[in-house]
Amino acid sequence: MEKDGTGNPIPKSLADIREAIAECDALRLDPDLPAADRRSLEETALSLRNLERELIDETSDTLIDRLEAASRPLEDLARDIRDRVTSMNTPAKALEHVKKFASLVTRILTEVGRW
Amino acid sequence: MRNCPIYNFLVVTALALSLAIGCSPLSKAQLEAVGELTFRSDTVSRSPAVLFGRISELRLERGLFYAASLSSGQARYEEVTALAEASMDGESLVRKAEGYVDAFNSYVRALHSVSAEARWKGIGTEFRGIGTRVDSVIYRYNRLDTGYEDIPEGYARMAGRVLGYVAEEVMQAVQGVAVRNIVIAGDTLVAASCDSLMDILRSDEMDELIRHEKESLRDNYSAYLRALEQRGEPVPLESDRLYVELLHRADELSSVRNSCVSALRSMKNAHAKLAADFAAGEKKVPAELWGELVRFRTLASQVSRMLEN
Repeated sequence: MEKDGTGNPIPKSLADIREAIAECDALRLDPDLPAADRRSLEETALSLRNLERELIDETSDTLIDRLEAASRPLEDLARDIRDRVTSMNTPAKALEHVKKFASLVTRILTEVGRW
Repeated sequence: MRNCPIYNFLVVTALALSLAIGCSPLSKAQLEAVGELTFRSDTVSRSPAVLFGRISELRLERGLFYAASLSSGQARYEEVTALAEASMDGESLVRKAEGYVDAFNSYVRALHSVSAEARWKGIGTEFRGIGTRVDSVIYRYNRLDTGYEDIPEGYARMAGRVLGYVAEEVMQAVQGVAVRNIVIAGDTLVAASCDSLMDILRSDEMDELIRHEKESLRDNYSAYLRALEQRGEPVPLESDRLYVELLHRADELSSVRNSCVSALRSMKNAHAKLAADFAAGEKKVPAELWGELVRFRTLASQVSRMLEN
């Protein structure tokens, strides 16, 4: 593992970061530790937790990029099918208008008959 | 009316047209098979997005245990704030993932829509409705004292029925052609998308994320308990209860992932078999394909139940 300025190894993987956090927690949760040392170790713990979040983000971003690449080809196909569905609906919609018109004429004739 | 030449002409024309046009390239069983395939496909294909969401929730909960193990108020404040920001980023990531899987679901939904029974039944209903209404118009017109001869009634309704039947046959043929062409044209892309989704679910990165959450949950809760012990505080029972629930959820991540991979494989196989049968001009659905569809439905239902919990 690479080391930072103080000679501590820089965690590169999630497994490394888990190990580093566990080691830090073992030290900071020692009941005999002075309060000042505990505060210092808690700052280290926070830095490690931030590093953990960065690694998780990097891993998730890799997966999201692959998901995006996988979905792109299907968008065109889905659009084509939607266009076909729309054109299949057109005759039924046109007939619906004719039906409504015939209903209107019937109502008009009914009223004319009454009058 | 049955001996009327107009009636006979309409019936013979309808039969001839139906025979000529109604030779749909797909059988009813094949259209049902397509419907079966598309029924729960969207549940399976959105699983990567759902897994991201579950992992993000787990991360927040275990993070709160970890924050509670910190003794300094400032440290706890910083950690909880970072958790909140990460949680919001996680939600944004889930929405992004859902947007991408929606392309796959659009194909599935569109195929489901094209293969639906309503697609051809609707037009027959419209024609029959028009026939009835035109007959009503004629009936009302005849009731008026116009001085002209009455227009014969009943033919419009009969024509509506005949045309409705013919239209249904035509639409079934059009639907069959559309579904057949879509399935054949889309098979390569569907196979590639299923493979990509399976690869993502089985990837080292997804493995690492799931393993990290499972193990970090234990570590973070352990830190929380040690901190409470150090302060001499009792552990609330609710914390233990929550921890047990989170352990169950973490354990389920792998099961959901594995079930989704199996379901995607089944869907890809079923789609490929359908496309091959359509291309070969087969009208029957072989037992092997029905078996694959039943298997897919079972797996998809399983995934759906797991994701709802």
